[in-house]
Amino acid sequence: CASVAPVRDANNIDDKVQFSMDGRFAVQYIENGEDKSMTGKMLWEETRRATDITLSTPLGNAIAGLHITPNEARIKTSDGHLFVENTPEELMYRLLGYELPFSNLRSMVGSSQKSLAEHTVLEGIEGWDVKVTNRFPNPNLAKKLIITRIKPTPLTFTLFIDERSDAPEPTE
Amino acid sequence: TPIDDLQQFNSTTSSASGSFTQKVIGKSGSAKKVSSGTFIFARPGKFRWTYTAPYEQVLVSDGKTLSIFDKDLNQVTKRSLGSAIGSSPAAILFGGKDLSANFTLSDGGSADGRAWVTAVPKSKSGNFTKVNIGMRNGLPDAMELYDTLGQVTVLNFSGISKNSGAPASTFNFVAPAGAIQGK
Repeated sequence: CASVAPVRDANNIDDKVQFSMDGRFAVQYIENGEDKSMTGKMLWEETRRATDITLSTPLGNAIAGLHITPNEARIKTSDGHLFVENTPEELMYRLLGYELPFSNLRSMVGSSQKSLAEHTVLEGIEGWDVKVTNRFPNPNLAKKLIITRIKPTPLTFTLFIDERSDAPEPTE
Repeated sequence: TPIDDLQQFNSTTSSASGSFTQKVIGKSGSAKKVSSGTFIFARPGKFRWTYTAPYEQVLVSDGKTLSIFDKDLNQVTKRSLGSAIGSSPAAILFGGKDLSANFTLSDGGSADGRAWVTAVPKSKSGNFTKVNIGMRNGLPDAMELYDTLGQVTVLNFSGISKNSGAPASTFNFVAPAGAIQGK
């Protein structure tokens, strides 16, 4: 089965990881009228050409690898299946039955040039409301985000970023 | 042989506790932060796996349901254990007694003072291509979990205490006040 993500050439400017973040996420959603939840870990690695997202269980083993380019989103699951859609949202809907805000997550977590002040709510990013409730000390970038939507079905995506490449750990 | 040691451990250990460190090596080879914590289990399928650093998270199985609480996310997630334990590492340490039901075991040679067993899941639908278990003094001392997406999880165990018994309440999950609950 063809591997999802091309082997990255670290010397190629297009393949250099320009931004990465590693964290934990939780999803609350409604399925058949019942409140459901899911939790896991996420590794986000972005180059100029594409974004690779590895989703893992809380115990750390990978269960899905997404490879997102401007034209398509593909996912390889741990049992070897490969799915391709136009957008990450369509892909996650196909797999999970609900969307996750991956297309806008990069802008939601902000950067040193453009970042949300704490506890402000950014409304209406394609139906998602974003609230930053915890920040890295310096630079003062988002660490915990609560991303919610009401339609088509209520859903809350909570992301706690343990490490992000644009907010290096203070050296002891 | 290490396989005999592992099978012996499995068949003579009804419960055990200890500490672990865990490192996940991504498919690009980059190693992420080491996490650590404690574990306690009672066969079949009951365990409490607690991460204490760099964050607080607990996974509790009562043999039927797996409950996960993450302090930073402040959320409780529950799922049936069957789909979670399957041919996962938890099955090796905490599952039923006969490993060869779920895994093909082979001698993995010796390295870093351990005798290794290679366990390949018989089911192809699991998350792992293989699991290496390092044995020392008849106890599992390390594990390397190769998942199907190229990540490797390296676990090291210490302070293992066998058959020390655990109060039944150990495996009952009680959600902290204010935690968001989900099914």
